[in-house]
This record gives sequence, structure tokens and C-alpha cells, in this order.
Amino acid sequence: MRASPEHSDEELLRLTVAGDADAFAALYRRRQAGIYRFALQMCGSEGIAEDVTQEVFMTLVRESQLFDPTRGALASYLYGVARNQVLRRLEKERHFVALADEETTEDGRARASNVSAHMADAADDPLAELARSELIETVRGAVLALPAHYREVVVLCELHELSYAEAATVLGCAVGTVRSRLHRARALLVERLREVRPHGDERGAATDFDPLRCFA
Amino acid sequence: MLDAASRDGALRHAETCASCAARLAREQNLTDALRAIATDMADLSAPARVEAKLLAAFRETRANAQAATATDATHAHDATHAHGATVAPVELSAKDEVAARRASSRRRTWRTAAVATAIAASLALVALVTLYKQFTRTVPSSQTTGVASQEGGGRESTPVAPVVAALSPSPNSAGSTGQVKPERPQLIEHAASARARVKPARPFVPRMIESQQVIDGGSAIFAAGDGESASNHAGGASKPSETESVTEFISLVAGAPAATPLESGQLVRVQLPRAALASLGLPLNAERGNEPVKADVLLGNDGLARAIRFVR
Repeated sequence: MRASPEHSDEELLRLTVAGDADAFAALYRRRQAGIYRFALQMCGSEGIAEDVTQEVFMTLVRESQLFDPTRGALASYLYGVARNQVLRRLEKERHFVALADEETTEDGRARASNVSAHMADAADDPLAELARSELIETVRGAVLALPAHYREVVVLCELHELSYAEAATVLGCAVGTVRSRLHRARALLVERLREVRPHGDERGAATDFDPLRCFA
Repeated sequence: MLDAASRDGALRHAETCASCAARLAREQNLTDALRAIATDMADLSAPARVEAKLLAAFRETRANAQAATATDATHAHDATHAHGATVAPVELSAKDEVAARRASSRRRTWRTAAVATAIAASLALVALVTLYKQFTRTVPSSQTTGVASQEGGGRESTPVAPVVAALSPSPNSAGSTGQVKPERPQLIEHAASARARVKPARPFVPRMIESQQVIDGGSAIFAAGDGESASNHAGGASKPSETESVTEFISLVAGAPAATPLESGQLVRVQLPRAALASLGLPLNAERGNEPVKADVLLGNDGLARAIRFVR
């Protein structure tokens, strides 16, 4: 049996275990982007994201027996492996301070220009879109600055649009924990964005008003 | 997730409540920004080199597994032929191959663990034997002849340093004050020592090493008298720990000439029943009669106890 796009993840995994390189390639192409983005959004480093992606799929090849279909989908399992790898890398590199080398700076510029171009294409007002792209970069930085257990919930539920139940499976915690962490993480993000929001932002002007909490 | 009615109610409320309107706007801002990030990064994926590396690694792993399976199959084939059995060709399914690979991996892991454990156990055994040899070299067999310790079931002994001391009568040494007397140390026989009986050696188990005392040749002075600090009678080298106070050494050699020189010996810390004090003619506090008392026994090279002093 040859791998085809109609195959489910589990079938592709079974073929992979049986030694079908095409099935492995198909499975990789189907799931690598999500894993890569998750790692990138969690750690902010393309190098680490590449390593994590590679390690996740090597783990799948080496220890495929660890995947239990009764506990969740293969995608959730892959996210879980990626999460463990990312946390391990973050813990390992916690003691190092990254220096902004030329390549990183260029990457950042390229991405920023990419964002700007993308936004500029989408709208006619370049100034508004520039402010918007700045806001996106600010939010991206704020997400990266969150504590890891809040960051992973934001990345999974907000950026990858996983359901609370799927996120709970990935994180190995209760759905209620996911909800409360997400609520707290959003509150932290709002707080940080208020601190860094530039003056003169019309849309933000409405949010400057911070009266007492409404108990209605 | 809100139901539609609650959502509509909340939105209506936000139209009239400035606080909730501001909060709603902030949340909407954040949601928009997060969605924009997700959209912006939607087309990001791992570089092609990752896929190439993974496929190469996958093929290599697969080849290794097949080689291992082939080797196992060859061994099994050889083994069955060696036993003269005829085996029908069986084609392994992919699942069986994976299971065989896992079993082989597990076997390797267990083998490695067993070898490591055996090496560790051997090293530990060698270390124990070495320590035991060192210990037996340091503690000669004469240590097991502690008279007092056997009487009271004492278990405490002190590792012994060679003692170069001499026992000879010298009554004037009793009042020395903390300095080592240059003259030859002497032993004044206590009146009660005549009642002390030297019993034949019985083995006892050393329980605990508490302190180590070294008596310089000729510097230890043994004299009868009231209990005083050890530092009054022995040189610094033979001084017990500062928290202890000791009595004078009391001779245990009944009827022997008092001036018998003791060229070397050992000092053994033991624990005795308090009744031993009475047997040596020392006052006994009846209220603490059940408590053991510590003592240092001076043993000669012949293993006989020569003198004893009590420690408090």
C-alpha cells in the first residue's frame, strides 16, 4: 500500500513503522509546518525550531510505539513531543543571552518587511498597516515574554486554534487548567500591550480609560 | 465559549458601561493581533534541508533495522540447522520486524545494564576488601582482650595507636598541671586493683570509634588520685577531646611489679556497667547505677589490660 493524501495520520504512521519512506515523507509534510511554527512561536529562534522539528519526527520514527491512539490524535502527540523538546531547549539555553548577530537581525528585518508587505497588500492605508504590523511585532514579543506555561496555551489555543480539550491533551492537564491559564495569559498580554502601546493610537485611546471594575 | 444570549447581553451592556467597553476593546485588539500573527506565520514551515535530513535518517534507521533482522534470522537459521530441524520459511511481517527490533533493543539495554551492575558490584567488593584489610592491619588481634569491656558487655572501642609508654612508680606526678612531665611516667597501683581480676580474652565486637588517642613515648603519666582533667596528666598528644574529663589510670595488673615497663600498647575505649566502678573501689552513684560508664583501657602487647581510666 502506497501513501496517499487520503490516508489518515494513524495509517501513515503504521506504514512508516513498516518502513515506507513515502508514508513518512507524507506524514512529515502534513504535520511539519504546525510543529515548526509551534516551536518558533514558543522559543522565537528559527534554529531551535528546526532542531525541534527534526527531533520530533526522529522520535516518531524511533519510538513510534509510545504513541497511543486511544489517548488522542497523532497531531496532539506530536505537539506534546515538540512541547517537551522546546521546554528542554529553553531550560538548557536559559543561562545564555542571545547576541543579535547579523543573520538574526537580517531575519528579523526580512520578517518585518514580509509582515509589512503582507499587510500593505491587504489594505490601502499604508500608515495604518504599518502601525498594525508594529502592533503584531509587539504582540509577538509579548507572547515570547510570557512565562512558558502561559505562552504554550496562547500559542496552542490562539495561534494554532486548538480546542481546549486538544490543548489539554497536548499539555497533559485538565481543560479547566487550560481555560484559566489562557485567561491569565491574555490578561498579561493586555497589560503588556498597554505598557508599550505608542501614544496617539486612536484605537488604543478607548482602552486608556481604566475605571473601576464593573460588577454588572 | 459564550452562548448567543449571554453574548448579546454582554454586548448590550458594553454599550452602556465604559469600563466593560474599554475592556472589550482591549480584548478585541489582542484577538486581532493574535489572529494577525497566526495569519502572518501561516505559510512558515521547516526548511527543506530538515526533510532531507529526516528522510536520510529514516532510511539509515530502516537499513540498520533490516540488517539486524537479517542477522537475527541468519543466527536462527544456523541454530535450527545445527539442531537438525527443518523450518518452513516464514516471512516476517512489518509489525513482527518492529517487535523484533524493539526486543533486540531491549535485550541490548538489559545486557548493558547487567554488565554495568556487575562492574559496580566488583568495584564495591574490591573496595570493601581493601578497607577490611586496612582495618585489620590497624587493629591488631590484641584489641579483643579488653577485660572490662567484656565484663560489662561494653561494645565501644577506640582505634588504637601505638603506645610507647612506661609504667613505673612515681607518686609525685599526681599534681601536675597541664604540662607534659619530662620524667619517665609511672604507674601507682590503686588499692582496689588487687581485686581486679584479669579474665581470659573473649571476643567482643567493636561498636563505634569515638576518638583516637596517641600517647607519646614516655610522655604519658599514670598516677593515682582524684578525677582530674586528662590534660593534667597526659601530654597534648594523649589528650582526649576537650569535652571529656578522665580519671587517673588505675593499674589492673594484680601483684605484678609496679615498675614493669610498657614499651608499646593500645588504648581502647570501652563502655562498662557502672558497677565496675565499685569493683575497682571507686565511689558509685546508686541513682545512675543502670547507666554505663566509658573507660579507656590500656592494653599491652601481650593483650593484657594494664590500666584503666574512666571518662566522663
